[in-house]
Amino acid sequence: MEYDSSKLMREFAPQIEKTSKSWYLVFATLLAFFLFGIFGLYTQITKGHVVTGMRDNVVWGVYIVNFIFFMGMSYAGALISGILYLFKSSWRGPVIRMAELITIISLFIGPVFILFCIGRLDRLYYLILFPRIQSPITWDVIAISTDLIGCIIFLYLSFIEDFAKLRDYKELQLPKWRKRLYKYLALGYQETPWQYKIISHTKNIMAAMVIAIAIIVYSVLAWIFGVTLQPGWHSTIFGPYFVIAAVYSGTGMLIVVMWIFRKVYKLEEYITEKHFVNVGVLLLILAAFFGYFTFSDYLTKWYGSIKMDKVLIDKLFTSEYYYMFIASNYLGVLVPIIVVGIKKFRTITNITIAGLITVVSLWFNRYLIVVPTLETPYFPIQDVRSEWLSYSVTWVEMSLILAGISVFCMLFMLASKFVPIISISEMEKHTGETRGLMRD
Amino acid sequence: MKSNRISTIIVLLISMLFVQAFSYAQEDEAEYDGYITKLSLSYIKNTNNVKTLRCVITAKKGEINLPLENAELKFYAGNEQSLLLGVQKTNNEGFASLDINNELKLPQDDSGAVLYRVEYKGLENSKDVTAEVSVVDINLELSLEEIDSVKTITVKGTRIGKNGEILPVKGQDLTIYVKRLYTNLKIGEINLSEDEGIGSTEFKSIPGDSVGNILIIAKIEDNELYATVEKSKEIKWGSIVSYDRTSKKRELWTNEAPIWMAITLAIFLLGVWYHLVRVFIKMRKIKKLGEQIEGVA
Repeated sequence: MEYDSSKLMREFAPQIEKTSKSWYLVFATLLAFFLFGIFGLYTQITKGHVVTGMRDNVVWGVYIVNFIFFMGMSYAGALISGILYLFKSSWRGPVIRMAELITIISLFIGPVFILFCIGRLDRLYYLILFPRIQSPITWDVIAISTDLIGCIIFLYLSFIEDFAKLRDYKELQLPKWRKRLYKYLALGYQETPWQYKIISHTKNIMAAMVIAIAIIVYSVLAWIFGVTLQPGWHSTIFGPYFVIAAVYSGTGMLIVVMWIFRKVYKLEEYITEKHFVNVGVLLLILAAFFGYFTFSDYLTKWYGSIKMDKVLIDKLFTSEYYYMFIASNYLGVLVPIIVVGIKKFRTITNITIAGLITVVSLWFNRYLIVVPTLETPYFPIQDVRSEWLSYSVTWVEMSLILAGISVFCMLFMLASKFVPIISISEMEKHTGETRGLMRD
Repeated sequence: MKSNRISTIIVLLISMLFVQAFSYAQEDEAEYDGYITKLSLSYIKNTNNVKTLRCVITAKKGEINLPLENAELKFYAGNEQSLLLGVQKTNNEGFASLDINNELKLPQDDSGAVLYRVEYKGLENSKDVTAEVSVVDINLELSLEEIDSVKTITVKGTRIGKNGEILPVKGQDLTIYVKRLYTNLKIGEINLSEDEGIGSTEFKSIPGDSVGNILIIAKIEDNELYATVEKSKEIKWGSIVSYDRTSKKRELWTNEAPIWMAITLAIFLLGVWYHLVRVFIKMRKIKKLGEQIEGVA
């Protein structure tokens, strides 16, 4: 479906111009959670990492889980938006900007959790000064920074046309500095045939680039685990498994974000059941792939029965982590498949619930990858204390998780005040002049 | 009549509250009593002939095993006429140790063994806990010599008899270790002879430190008669190991990384940045075209 540009501007201008009391209220609540997280961080810095659940054996906890989770969502956003753009999907218009925003916002938040995990932040610059090319951590630093630059450029390119529209829309009630900023950011874009051609070509390049970078970067993240000789981690399947898990969780998050903005900004006309079903079908396919990869990974480990792998699998299948394992790897796979697969259940609400279950399940899936393995070392430290061998999350870590989630929501809210939450340029009906010239 | 019924109900409810509170208190106390206090005592004589009694006290209930902190332990020597050796308090791991004064004349039984005992009085209502260990004091002599170009470890075990005479420790097995970074590495076993209480074994070369020093330890462990006794000596019998760290400077383009890795990274970065630069150039072109249009307008 194609829409008229001026109609879309009229529709979306109030979203940028006016800010409701409820917006401020929600923002203030999120800010309170964020400040609570800052207090938690202050406690951690002043008292040391002893205030977290991490100890000598279990050196990674929910900070790393959150890092993987947010990075996963980021890559998913990049992949989804890149694929939708590159394959000129007819229904991409209302969805693509949200996917792009998920990419950038998650990419800003994810690496911050690494900083919470590092004991000696004052040595952080060593990563830049003394990188070793054979270290997967160095690969990750290079890959993430490259990805961040690539995603920012891709996002900016998709914004240029909308910045130009915001600049040219005379009725827009905004302070002068905002209009000047739009003018500056629009790079003098006038939708001439040549400019249109250049920007389309550039976006094609970047769409292909972000897909490639996202796969590489998340594989590198998986290899940090895969190249480590730890039970459950040393697996050749981890690269593709992480990529699928990332896209899966990101698709779930996209559905949730679509549902929230549809409700808040009353976008029922633009984000229809068709969009939910289309993204839902993507979720179903990814659920099947994710389930297959999970089964394949655990089957080979279970059948091989290497001593410590068996100890780990017993923890996951039968004892300490049984319920979490069932919730994340069974419910997280089966619910989306059933909801989207059976036509009767395929409603907007049900698909959103399935998306939410996917997001939560995948967070726990990452927890099950990180923590139980570290609780099952091949070679325990001598005279190890029992409390070093088990991990439980503390209020400090919880406060920083809450802070991460609240920053994610706050940045989304701020972004919705800066640009239309639906890409107008993707939605609009191009004028005959532009199209005619394009054909010429 | 009605008010009587109401007051009865109120009294019943209040008394039920008390019964409830009382029963909770009983459960707490019962749970506490369910813990079994466990005390263990061991004896170690180190290379400097310092004799140490080591003690660990824990309270166990089901799977829970808690160390008792700050518990007062009394250490004794002798059976009938006990000699108080000292009093120690346990640390947060339920551990306490006491070095025995070598000047003390300790009461021995007919076989020359000394009975060591540790006592924990516990709380007011709990029973005393006691642990004992009987030890015959022996000395180990460790000599390290090259005999016919063979590096030989020789150990002689002796003990003082009832009348002060020196007696050999006959037929006892010992283990020979070399100290490593985290633990001791077993390199051989020696059986002390039945006549003189002497035994030897050949030393085979293993890595030492930067000048070849190694620490050789002869040890009797957890023995019924002698408990744990060890003797150690440092000698330059190890092969010299030097770590040249100067050539391994931390840097990105070090030779340490395999060449394929450097090539892969270079291809990745060049590929990405080539396209990013192309995109920057195109964005600049869009801006220039925009400026031209504005200029015309």
